[in-house]
Amino acid sequence: MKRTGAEDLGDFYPIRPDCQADTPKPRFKPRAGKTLSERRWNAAFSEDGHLDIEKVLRRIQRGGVHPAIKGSVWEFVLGCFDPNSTYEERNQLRQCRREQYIRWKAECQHMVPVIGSGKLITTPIITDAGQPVIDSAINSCFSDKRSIQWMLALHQIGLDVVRTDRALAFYESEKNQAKLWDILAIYAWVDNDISYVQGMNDICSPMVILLENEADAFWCFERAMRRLRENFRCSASSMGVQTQLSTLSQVIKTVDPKLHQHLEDLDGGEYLFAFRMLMVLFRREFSFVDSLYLWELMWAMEYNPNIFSLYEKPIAESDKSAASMLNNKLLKQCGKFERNKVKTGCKDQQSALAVFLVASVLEAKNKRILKEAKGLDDVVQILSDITGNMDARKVCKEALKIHKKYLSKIIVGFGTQTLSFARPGQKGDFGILGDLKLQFVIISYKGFYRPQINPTYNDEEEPEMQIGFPTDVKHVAHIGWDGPSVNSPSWVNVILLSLFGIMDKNSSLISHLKLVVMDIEKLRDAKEEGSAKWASEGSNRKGSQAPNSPAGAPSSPVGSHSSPTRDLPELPKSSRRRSSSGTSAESPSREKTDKPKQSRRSSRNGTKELDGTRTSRNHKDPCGESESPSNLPDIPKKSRRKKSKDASVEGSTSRSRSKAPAQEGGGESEMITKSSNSNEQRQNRGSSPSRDVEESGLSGIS
Amino acid sequence: MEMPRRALLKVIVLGDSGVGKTSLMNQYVYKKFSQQYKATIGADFVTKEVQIDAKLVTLQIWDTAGQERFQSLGSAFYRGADCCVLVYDVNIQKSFEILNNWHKEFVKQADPVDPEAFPFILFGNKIDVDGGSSRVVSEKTAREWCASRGDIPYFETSAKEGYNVHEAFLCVAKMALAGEHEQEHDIYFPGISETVSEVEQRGGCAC
Repeated sequence: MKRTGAEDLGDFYPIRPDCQADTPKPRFKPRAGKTLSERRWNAAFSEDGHLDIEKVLRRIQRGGVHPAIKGSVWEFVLGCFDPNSTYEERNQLRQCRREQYIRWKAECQHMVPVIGSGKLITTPIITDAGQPVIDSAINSCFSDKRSIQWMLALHQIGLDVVRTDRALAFYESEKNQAKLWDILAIYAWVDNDISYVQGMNDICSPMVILLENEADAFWCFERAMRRLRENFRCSASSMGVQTQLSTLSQVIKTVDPKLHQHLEDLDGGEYLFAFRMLMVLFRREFSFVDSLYLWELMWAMEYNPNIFSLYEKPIAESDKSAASMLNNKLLKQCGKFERNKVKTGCKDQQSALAVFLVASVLEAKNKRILKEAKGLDDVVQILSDITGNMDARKVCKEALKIHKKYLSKIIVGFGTQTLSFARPGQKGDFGILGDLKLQFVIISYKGFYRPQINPTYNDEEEPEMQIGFPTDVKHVAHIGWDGPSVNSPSWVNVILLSLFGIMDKNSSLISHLKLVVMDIEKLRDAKEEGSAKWASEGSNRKGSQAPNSPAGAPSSPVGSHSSPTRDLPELPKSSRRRSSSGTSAESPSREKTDKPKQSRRSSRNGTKELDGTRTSRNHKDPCGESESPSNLPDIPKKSRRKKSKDASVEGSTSRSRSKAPAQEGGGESEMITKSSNSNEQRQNRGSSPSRDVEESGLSGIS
Repeated sequence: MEMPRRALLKVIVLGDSGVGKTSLMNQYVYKKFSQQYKATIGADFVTKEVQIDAKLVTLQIWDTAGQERFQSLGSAFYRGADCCVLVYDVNIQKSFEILNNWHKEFVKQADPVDPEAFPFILFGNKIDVDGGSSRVVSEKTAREWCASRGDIPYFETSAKEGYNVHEAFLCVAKMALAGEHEQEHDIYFPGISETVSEVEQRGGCAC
């Protein structure tokens, strides 16, 4: 079935006629060439079922997922399945999970027969003391604490289920309500530590709609809860979500101190007004369709290729971050948000993208809050105006910017954070930074995290992420530095020495690191002059920071030692863009991207449709083209490469395509190189620190 | 037009999940009843202007989540409250029994200057259900409980039919106003903007 841009989503999630007036109109529309379509999704599987997750994530992050396939896509982005598995393996796993679910359900049914009966309960069946309210409702053999606790939650679940998404025609059916109730009840039994807390119904409801099989919906919900369950943990004195709220507080304090101060003045430093946004992931601020869109954007951006194996472990162990042990290839399979996190070694579980989404909402309302809010109730009022009025993608984009800004500042702020940043992978690999082929470390005033890590990142139109052709890997760790610390840069040494420690096994980087160390020495000298803006770079790129120096071109990078060979096998995967990397001198952007798409489309006419949402996907995908060598010429990825080319022409400033040119100029072109003549330059810079400060002021979110 | 400075009265509505807290508030403020209300997460509020005698006041009515597990948030939301409305469902015994708990938690977390004198009020909601035949908590039982708590006022209501809702909230406003500490509010809310600007005219309160 062919679907184009302007179809009516009402067909997928019909609203009850009597509720249409009160329901916000969805803003999300599948967009041709941007949204992950059914055809493209099917084409992303190889013959035996391996999924090109990198490609899929790129799509999702650009335009979400078409409703026809949401269910199956969600299973992957939430980590139910390993993209690197076959149809066969996944079918087995699915079968296994379905059986497990049936066993759990049978246990529950044995205790409370109404489970699985197509009905649900909304009044208590048991007293707090464990006495049955209605004898027939429960099997009174079960009087242990866990069973009683569970039974006490059942009517609460019921009360919420009958109030969940009632505007959707789907929940007019009592059977569907009962399905939601069963899943939540069984989850509460299995995860008895968390049990059931109001709000989980809002998280679970979409899964029930998107995945027809109840067990599949359960597992999808269970995976989503892996990220969210800590928010629902309740104690006598606090709720889990308050941890995220305090992270939010930290974030706002860091990126927008003025706003934070204002909120504190209103006695809102706890950020409780954001409670609901985090608990139910914006379900109440967005229409149904738009919250699904927001979620898939979020999950794609947070995607980490380790997620599947991590979640296969018991819950207790999976609390650990997935950040460690990602090599370069896997890094490309991370979502945008996760990648930034991993790169900076930020393992803080609480800094979920959702926190930054709230931050971006607050920033969007920044002026009004500062001007109009005379009390916390005004803040609540101002924030309630966003309901139905926000664009999910925009919010995500802003959230990523804030995240970058935040990362840049905390890395500066805390020496210990910096250390963990520097030592991410301990098991004998070179760590993330090593794998990134760290080219240079820039320390600048006013620590701004410029978009060098991926030059395409901040573009208005945000071309697809094309992380690197092996030869132009150009990752740059950029460490910001706030002005005041200039007088005590000892931690800088610590960072750099730590970097050295990580990479000491990477002999090809040794020489370049020696130079870094030399720079530390120079930095010590320089600090007397009050300036410490400099950069160190790979040995073969000396002087590249000087404007106009071709050495800035990425094509001869430090990382090159590591190999075209190593990365070569990945090539086919990326194959979307057709023009070869060498020729594209200008603008690889969207139009270009879209073209190959067209041609592929036609070539795929024969593709069998998979009704991914509703069925298991064991049919073989006849179009495993993406894996086929014939695509090699397509390869591309060159958006980076080409940017790099630009860089070589234009000098270092082109490396970062931020929207704020002034800032960029202030950053890059002012950098002092670590070449032999750099000392001299440094001295020059040293004399104008204040200018640097001004120029590298905050961008973006204000 | 220059508006006179108005007192802002903060009212907290507490009670078990599903007893109709959100419905009561919306019936009072918007004169609407809907079957589509969702469970309240955290807390939310609506405001309404009320004229009491010669004085114009703004009621800021805070709706809270009913699940007990959210109680730890209380201290943050209850702060500065002028009146506490307790709600139960006359058809559900447990929602009545748990009132003691809500009462106690409020006193503990809001920490009012004089807990004995702090204005509480009780609403018995959903009296319309099945024409009253599924009722399990009698009016007498409820009034006895109120008497044991220092004679707190009691109203039987139906949010669905709008029965007694205005009267009940008017009493809330009077009680809140009577115990209000003016300075506290005038500092923070010098001229609050209201979402609902209907002026309540009626007087007379059962309490």
